[in-house]
Amino acid sequence: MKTSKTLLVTRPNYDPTTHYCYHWSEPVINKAKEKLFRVLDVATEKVTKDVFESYLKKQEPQFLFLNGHGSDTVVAGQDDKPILEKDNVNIIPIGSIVYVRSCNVGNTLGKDFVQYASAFIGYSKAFGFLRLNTSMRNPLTDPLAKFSFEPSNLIVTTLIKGKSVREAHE
Amino acid sequence: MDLKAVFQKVYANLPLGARTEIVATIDGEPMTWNAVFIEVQEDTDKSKKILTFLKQIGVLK
Amino acid sequence: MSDRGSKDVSTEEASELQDKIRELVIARIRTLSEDVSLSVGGEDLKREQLIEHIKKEDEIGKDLIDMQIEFLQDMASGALYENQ
Repeated sequence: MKTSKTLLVTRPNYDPTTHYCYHWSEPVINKAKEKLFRVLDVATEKVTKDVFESYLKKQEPQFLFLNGHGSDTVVAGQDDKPILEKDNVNIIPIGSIVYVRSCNVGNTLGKDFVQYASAFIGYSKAFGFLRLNTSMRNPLTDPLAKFSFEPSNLIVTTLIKGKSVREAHE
Repeated sequence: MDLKAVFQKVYANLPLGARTEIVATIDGEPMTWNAVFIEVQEDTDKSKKILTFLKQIGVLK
Repeated sequence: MSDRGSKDVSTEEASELQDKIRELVIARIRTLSEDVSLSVGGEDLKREQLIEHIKKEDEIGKDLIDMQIEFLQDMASGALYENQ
């Protein structure tokens, strides 16, 4: 069942980097709900290949916002286990828009996404951010991390407001 | 436009807070935009080295 | 000056420039507080670790150098403040 106002978010949480991405995805989720999007929040232990594939096949979300570690050939879920790679790229819903907040996916794998997705936004190099160690308990209060995550979140919030991919990328 | 003029234009456009960022090291000494500005104003030998370096790294165009 | 001589000079100049760039980036990283970490990939790096990577000029070190220089270029061109 394809619905144009469905956002799927993956947010594993098992190390400092994913912990930050997990929490900093919350403002995006809240914004999407405000805009009456149906949000499929696939978090922590649920971020496995099986669960991810099941959501994509059954729900066909038109917006995908994937957090986690990555490489040229893999988007990872919980505990660094792959959820999206070359052999299952065909599960990406046709015409969807995909933003992957991971290192290096834009180099190779991201280019395969657009055989199915209408657009892909990602990074061809490492995605990194400065953070304050004292903010680990509450990453959303981290004034340093804010400089990386707010612009990054803007990509998704711009899209769910109905703007174009070009505008979101800019 | 000569490098001194280019630098002054760039410097003038920088927010005040950004001017305390380190932008060069000369003879092992780190220098902020503010420190470089003073050298450039005085036309010191150091300023020539700094401006050349900033051009080489693409900060001045 | 022979061509080989010119090539040696420019290689030396390039190497000297790279040393200065590395020195600049290390100076900038030294201004970070001890409380700050850089999370990148699966790594969580503190100030001294960042400096080690830069000195080694390994993949993380090279990325850090590129990021810092690009940041300074964007600062100078005004690109950082364009959409504000």
